[in-house]
Amino acid sequence: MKGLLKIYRRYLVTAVVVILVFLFLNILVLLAVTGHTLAVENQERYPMMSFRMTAEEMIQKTGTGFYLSEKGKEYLERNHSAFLMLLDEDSGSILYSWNLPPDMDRTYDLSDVASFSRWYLEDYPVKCWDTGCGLLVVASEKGAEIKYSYSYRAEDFKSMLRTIPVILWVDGAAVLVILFIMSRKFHKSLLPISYGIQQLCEGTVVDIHTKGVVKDLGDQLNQISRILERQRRDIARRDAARTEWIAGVSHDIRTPLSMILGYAENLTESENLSTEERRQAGVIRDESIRIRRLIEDLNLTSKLAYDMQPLRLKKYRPAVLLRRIVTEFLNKEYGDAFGFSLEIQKEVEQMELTGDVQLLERAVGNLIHNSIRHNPQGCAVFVSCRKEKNGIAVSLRDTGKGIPRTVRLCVLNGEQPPKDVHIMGLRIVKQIIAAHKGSLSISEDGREVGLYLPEDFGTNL
Amino acid sequence: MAEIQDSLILFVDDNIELCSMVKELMGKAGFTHIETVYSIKEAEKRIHDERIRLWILDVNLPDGSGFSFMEELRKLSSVPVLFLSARDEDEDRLLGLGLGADDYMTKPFLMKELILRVTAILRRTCHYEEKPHSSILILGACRVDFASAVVTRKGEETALTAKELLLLKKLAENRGNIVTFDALCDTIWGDGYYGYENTLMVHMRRLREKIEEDPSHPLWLLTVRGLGYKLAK
Repeated sequence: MKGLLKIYRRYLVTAVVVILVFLFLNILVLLAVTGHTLAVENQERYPMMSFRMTAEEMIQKTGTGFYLSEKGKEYLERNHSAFLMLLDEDSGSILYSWNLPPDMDRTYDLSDVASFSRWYLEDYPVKCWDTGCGLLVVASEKGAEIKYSYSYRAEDFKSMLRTIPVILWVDGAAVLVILFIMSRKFHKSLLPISYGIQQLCEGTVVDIHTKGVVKDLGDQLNQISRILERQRRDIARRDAARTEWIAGVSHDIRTPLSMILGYAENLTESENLSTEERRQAGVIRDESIRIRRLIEDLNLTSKLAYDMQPLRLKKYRPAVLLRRIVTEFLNKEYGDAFGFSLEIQKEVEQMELTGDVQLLERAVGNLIHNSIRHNPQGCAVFVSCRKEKNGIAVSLRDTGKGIPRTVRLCVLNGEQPPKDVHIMGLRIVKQIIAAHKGSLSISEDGREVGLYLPEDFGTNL
Repeated sequence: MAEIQDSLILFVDDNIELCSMVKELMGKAGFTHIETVYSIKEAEKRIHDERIRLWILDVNLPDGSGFSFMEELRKLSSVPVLFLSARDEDEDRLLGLGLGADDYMTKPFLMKELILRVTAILRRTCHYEEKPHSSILILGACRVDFASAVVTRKGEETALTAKELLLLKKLAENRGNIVTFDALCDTIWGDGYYGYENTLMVHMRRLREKIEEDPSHPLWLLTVRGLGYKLAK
């Protein structure tokens, strides 16, 4: 909704700015054109101006009479004038004429002059100028020019000048009001679209009813929502099928594995077997236990990958959890070759986080277990925990050979590992930490794994 | 009086080989009265058999679910039930235990674990006569009697406080293993306390004064830095 209001405001502002810019531009253009007009070179396009400038010099007087000067000729030619005459100022008789139609060769009285000086002479638009030798009358072709004559009462003219700004203001206000109403209407019609998009973002099904200009938009939005919903269902179904398949397979392996494990366990203690045979039976038992763990991991990883593992969230103290995990490893007696130590920052002691304790225990346990399993010659494992910004950082460092580069890159980048690389244990750790909105990092040498768990995770549940 | 091993156990599982394996291997461990049935139908025929001391039930059976059979069974008696299932979902585990089962194990399983759990259930439920559980703890020259909360050393008797007794009991139950501060605090103050580590240390020091020859160089009640305490074996 906020976005819409912004659009609405911007629309109004833009409209006003556009109007102002155009007004300004118009004024600018008008000024420019006027200025240009006043410039000399354009005079022929403005008949009165060029006429006035040449009128004095058009007719020259000699002792015997009058004749047309060069300038006069040039003017008449350029303006395609119809005729020219020079009237005597007292009698109104023609002193000189050029190209004058025969029927107009007469004497003109005052009323004639009064008429054509303002209007037309026999439909010819004429211009007059009082030269030193007489009244110069030059006519253009019929219809070539239009003559108007205005006269206003001074009072009217003044009031008109006063009214213009008022009208402009009223116009401006009216435009603004219209803009306001229209954009408001538009805004209202867009509201359902905005609501629909919001719903789409939240992943709910959109079914909005729109009218008018935005009807198409609304219909398309509904359609997008239907497509998304269908895809969502398809993906969910496919994910469920995959997870169920893995669960099914692992379920079917369990019973036969029970028997392998049971009998192998029995054989390791059989007195009828040689020590070597009992050792071999022991290997079968241990590997069966490993397969059991793998099945569990496979199940968990597929569930975590497709968000089908519900988190059993509760409040826990990370200090207590870490102490319990490390203690369990110490109590299992892995031999003197392995050492476990735990360092907890004082600030972490009283901290309480929310999470799935079983899964987190699994994650940390997996990491320590990896250190033990991949360093049969023994190593020391250092677990430490300190307060971080809005959470805690758990670090697991060992003195063993470290996580290989390929494994590290595969886990961090979420890539499929090459065939002979097994990263399920680490991937589960990453998935569990990701499910808690945390992050996992592995040091360059692969000897240190860092886990970050945010504090505010789950508090809004 | 009958021994635990003589209890009649009914094993319900549709996998014949698994049934015979369990029968054979539990027989080796001394459990000689194990009978097996392969379906709910057969199990239902034995539902009124009061000689049965423990039912070991599979969940997925060809003609029904172990869970619903368990419900039937619970209407009639409170005989102990242990689920042994290939279903390892937490939901299944919770459902089984929620129905009142005494234990829930998932396949594949270690026979030793099964035998230990079966023994534990039977001991709990059948009230067999047993040697009285030892309430005497021997720590070198020192003798602790949990029943009377008295420590005897070189003929000298010292009484333990209630909290010291609780702590020592907890450590003795896990003798040889580390018990975390948190677990010890839980034992004496209940869940959800923190910041009591210092008080715990005071209790431990007093306890050492009572049981150790040289409290500043303890031989039995050992501190594991950063984790907790341990009672040496």
